[in-house]
Amino acid sequence: MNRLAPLIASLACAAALGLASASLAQDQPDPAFIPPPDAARTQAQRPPAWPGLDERLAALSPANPEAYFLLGEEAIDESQLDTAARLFVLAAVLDGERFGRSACLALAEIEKRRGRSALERDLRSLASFLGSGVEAGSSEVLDFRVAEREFRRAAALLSAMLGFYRQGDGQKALAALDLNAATERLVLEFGRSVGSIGRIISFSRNYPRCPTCRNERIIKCPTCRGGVVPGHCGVCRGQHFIICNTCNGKPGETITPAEIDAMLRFEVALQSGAAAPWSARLSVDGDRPRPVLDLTMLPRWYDVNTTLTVYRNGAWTVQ
Amino acid sequence: MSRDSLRLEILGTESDRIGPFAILGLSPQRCAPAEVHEAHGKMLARLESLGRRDDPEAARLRLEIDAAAALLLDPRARQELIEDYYLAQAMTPARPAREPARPAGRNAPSAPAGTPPRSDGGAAPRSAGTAAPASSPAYELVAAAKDANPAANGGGRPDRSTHAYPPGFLRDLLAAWVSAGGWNGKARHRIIAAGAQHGVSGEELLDAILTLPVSIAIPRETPLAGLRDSRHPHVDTVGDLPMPESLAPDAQREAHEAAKRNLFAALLAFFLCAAILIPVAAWVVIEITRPGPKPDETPVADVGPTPVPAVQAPALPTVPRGSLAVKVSPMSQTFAGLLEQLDRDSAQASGLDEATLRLFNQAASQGRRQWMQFDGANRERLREVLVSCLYRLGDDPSGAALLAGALDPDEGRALTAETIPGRAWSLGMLAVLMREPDLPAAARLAIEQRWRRHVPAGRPPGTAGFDDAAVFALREMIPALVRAIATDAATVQAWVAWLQCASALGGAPQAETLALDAAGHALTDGPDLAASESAGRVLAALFSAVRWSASPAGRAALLGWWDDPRVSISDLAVISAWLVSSGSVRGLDDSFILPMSAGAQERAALRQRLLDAWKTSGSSDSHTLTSRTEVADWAARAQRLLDEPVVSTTEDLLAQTIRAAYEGTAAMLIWSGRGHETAIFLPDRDARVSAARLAEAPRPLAMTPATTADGQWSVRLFRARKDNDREGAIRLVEALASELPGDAGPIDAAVLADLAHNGQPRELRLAALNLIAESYTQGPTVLLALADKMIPDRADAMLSEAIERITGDDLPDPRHEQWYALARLALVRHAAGLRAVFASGAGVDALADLLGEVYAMRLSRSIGAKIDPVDAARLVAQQWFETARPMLPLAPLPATLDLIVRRASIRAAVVDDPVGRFHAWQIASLEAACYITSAERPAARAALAGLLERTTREFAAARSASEQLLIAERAMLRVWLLRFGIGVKGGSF
Repeated sequence: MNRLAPLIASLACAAALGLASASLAQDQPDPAFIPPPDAARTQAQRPPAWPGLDERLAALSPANPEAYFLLGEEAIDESQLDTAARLFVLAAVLDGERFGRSACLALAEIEKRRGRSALERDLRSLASFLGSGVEAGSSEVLDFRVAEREFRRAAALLSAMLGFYRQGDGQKALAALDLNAATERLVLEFGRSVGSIGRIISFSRNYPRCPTCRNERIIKCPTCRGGVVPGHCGVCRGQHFIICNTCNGKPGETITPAEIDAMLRFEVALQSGAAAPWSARLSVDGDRPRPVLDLTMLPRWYDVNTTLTVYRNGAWTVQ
Repeated sequence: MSRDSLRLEILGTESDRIGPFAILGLSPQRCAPAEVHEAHGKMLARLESLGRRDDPEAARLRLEIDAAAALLLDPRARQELIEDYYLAQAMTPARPAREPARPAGRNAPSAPAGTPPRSDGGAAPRSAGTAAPASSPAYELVAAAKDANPAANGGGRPDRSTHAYPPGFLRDLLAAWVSAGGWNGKARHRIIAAGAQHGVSGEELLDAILTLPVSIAIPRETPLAGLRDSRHPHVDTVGDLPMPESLAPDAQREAHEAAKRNLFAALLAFFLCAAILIPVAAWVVIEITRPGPKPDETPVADVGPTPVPAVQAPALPTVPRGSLAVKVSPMSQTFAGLLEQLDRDSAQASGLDEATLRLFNQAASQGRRQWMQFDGANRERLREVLVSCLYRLGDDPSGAALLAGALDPDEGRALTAETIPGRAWSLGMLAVLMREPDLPAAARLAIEQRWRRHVPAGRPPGTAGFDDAAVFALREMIPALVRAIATDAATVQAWVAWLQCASALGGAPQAETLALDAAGHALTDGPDLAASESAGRVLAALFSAVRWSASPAGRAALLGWWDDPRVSISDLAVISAWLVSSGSVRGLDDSFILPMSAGAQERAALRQRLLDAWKTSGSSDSHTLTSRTEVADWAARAQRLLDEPVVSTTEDLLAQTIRAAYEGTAAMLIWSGRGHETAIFLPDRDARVSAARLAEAPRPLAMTPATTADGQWSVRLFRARKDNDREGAIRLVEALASELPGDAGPIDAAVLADLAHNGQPRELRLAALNLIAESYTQGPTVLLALADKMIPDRADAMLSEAIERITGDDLPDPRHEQWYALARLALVRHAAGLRAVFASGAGVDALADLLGEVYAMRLSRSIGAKIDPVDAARLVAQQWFETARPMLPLAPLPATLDLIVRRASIRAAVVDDPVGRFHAWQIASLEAACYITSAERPAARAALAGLLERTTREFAAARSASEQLLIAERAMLRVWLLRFGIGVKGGSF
């Protein structure tokens, strides 16, 4: 149980982050977004908590993209993640050839710190995409394969958890769950297709098993005490055993057939990988667009207006 | 008119002025080819105007004019003349004493300003009265040198520069050289004859030769090369050559002797050539006209190689087409009676009894052996009776297993001539039965298990007909048969049996289609034809099923092999030799045989020649490559698709994607000269898309109602276990199937699953596992309970075996790290299928299957093939990569090919779902297509770059993965339009 507390907290946190990222995804601007001349000539910037940052930001010039990148690195060290992210995006936009890949890796590091594993994964994919060495590409493909195997493993264990939950065995359900980055990604990206994984975990914690039959489903007849009391028992009709009168032989939460079907779709879709039925996969991920591996996606992911490249009077503005 | 007067009149200068510049009235500054032509024409016109056409002197003068023009028109000769001209000009002041005054007015017009005065003093000859040596500046240089150093003059020979020759001799000499076409044997004889005519001695003749202009100096390789004097690099001398004392008296005789020698040599050469060529020609004629072996007399295995003259590759044997036909005969009355009786008995029987089973076995066994000889109606009758039996008698699992076993007896996995027809029939029947919607659950399960043994990952084709299913089965056999080529001596007979099956199913066209498919497999995956005799025999057997001269499919397949880098040059060499030697395609001669040592360029060149020759040989004129009509029709259809508004639902988007993919496939086929194949699938395009959208998932199995309430069996089991009644407990487990047939309730299912996982003693657990594997393979509740109770990472060999029996899947060793995940997934997937979990997405899945089928058509061998959509997209992308590999665009778009390939692998690795991975390969194809098109049409580069940029923006703005698929497919259509050189309406990109 001691192990479960941080686990639940992590999942709750992850769920919150998932909602945040989902809302971020929904609020993505139009790709052909061009800011109106007046309204979007400046973009509000949180007041910097890093002394001297304002002056250093004001000293940046699009003619020197490297300065954006270097200041971004310093901003990471100062835990100014939002500022760092904007600087990396601008550096990548200003000189994609020199800073595109490095900016993606730096942004992936930021997302790792923020716990946004899906975005981190996309950024690392984009970084490997922007690399030039074929050999490096092979090793990156290998990395992705390893990640995929870990993902499948996490999916199998999450499926096991769902299976034990269906059987009303909360204790085994929690034991099966292995919290790691892959599980977190599963929960964040696909958890909603089976309702709420957090609620399932919470229920399992509160319902380790049927307190009466301990999930045996059959108990000794309480009337004849399993045949100890002589004579014919009208309750168990002489069988000495009856179906558990606490859980009625069906321990755990009542699950509708539709919910069971949703869980099965989830399990088959995620564990089968590319061999999954298309319908299962599309129903699990909601036919969500696949990540586009292109440098032009960075401003979209971070909602950065790339025409605002200079910092004046506490706000980003056009040059 | 005398000769000199003629020259004076024509050339306007002294008779001994024969230098090219002087003759044509030109100068080094004014001797461009056009000017030479103009001067040449003027001189000839002036000569013609005199009307002395028959005068020999006029003829000589004409020759001199021609020779002068020829020298000045030759760039190298002209350059040497110019250099000599200036050199002589520079040396002229060194001998002023020998430079007499030029007579006023005599140098014009033939000696233009700047022309150096001649060393011989122009009109004043050095020797009395006769013509001076040549006017060449080079000659003047030589003369000057000899004057300066008399010792170097050939040991006291007369000074050539001062030697007097008979009048006109030098002109005749030059004319002889010109008319002979240069320094050759003919010139030698003519020069000797000219010398003899003018009474010039041999030495004088040689000196005269040396006075000719440098540019016509004797080359080393000519018959006169021996005359070259190494002491002077520019002028040939005779200093080292032994010469006859007097050439003139012997000249006529020598010329006569030489003519006799030449005539003798010519006759000798003629007879020698005739002696060699006549036997060779006779042999070739005999070989060409010799009749081939009679088809019926030549069994496949005994056919020897046909010799092909000048063929470097080993020749393939020929196989008569008639040997593949199977004679159709009416069904025997005995067999018809047997079917009648089986139909009657099965209708009357309450269950599967021994007599009915025996009848069924007999019918199935005879059907397996003889089906090829039945016509369509009789095959249908056999199918109808057997299917009816399964409907009537397939309720009971054990009975269903027996019936399924009769349809598909276990004959081992080897494919031989004896087993192939039976295997095709069995798989055809199994496929037919799998498509029967209302078959009893037990029968369906038994049939599915049998099917999976043969085709673990495949599903039967979409139609319910036996013939289609059997063709599918034959196609499934191809990889195994190809693998056997290298090892199995009986492979040829097996392939012939396979072709006979194909012929029986769809006649010659079906056999041809399958034969081409198989030949493609054999060429890409089989052993090398040059190294394997059996491979050659197999290919010959397959080729014999193709009517090459009238088969567009055959032509397209052949061209496809030529394009396919997996097909080696040695294989193509053998194939081309076979095509030529067999006469299968008219108009091909030995030059169409690819040498074994050919390179990629020769391969490509021969492909083009083959394409041209085949097109014009009358065999397939209606299927010319990239017919304008085909392209125009295609472009109109593609434009209509591009103009359609984008829809919103997943199924609608997939349907639009498939329609666009159909047109992409059509474009690829048109491009590769297989446009006629679009007629196979395009007419049904919309119907198939609609049918896929309406596809229904299999319904959940209807279970027989339980005879006891859920949980009662568990109560009795607990009682027996409490009483330590081991046998009683096992009996209870074994009896559960009859008490709860098909499936159990949640309580009993959970208790049974507990027993299967943890039951004690072992016998009880084994009984529970056996019960589930035998009686509850169609019970979703039991199977889901079994899956749900699996403990992660607990290796369990008994459970693994049971799951394999239930699902038909092959699982890894239980100790394997992936075992738990795979075993549980197999169970869950099976249970989900039984619960019809995916029913709501049946349309999407059917559309995905159709998308894979459309993509598979783009591969070289495979219209109608069923391939997983992701695999099909990957193979198509790789096909694009292979096409792009030989190309070297100056500015590759969107990147180098290596980078495109690397990006594709990263894109595919990043996503681990079928839709994302399909999309990744789709983009890879798009990028490779842009790369190729930009290499083929550099002018389209900007349009392609814009297209890619726009597509990326559209991907980013897409609201769903399905929309991204559609965007990619539409972008591909636009690339095809550019590749065909067609602009897109409105120039939107």
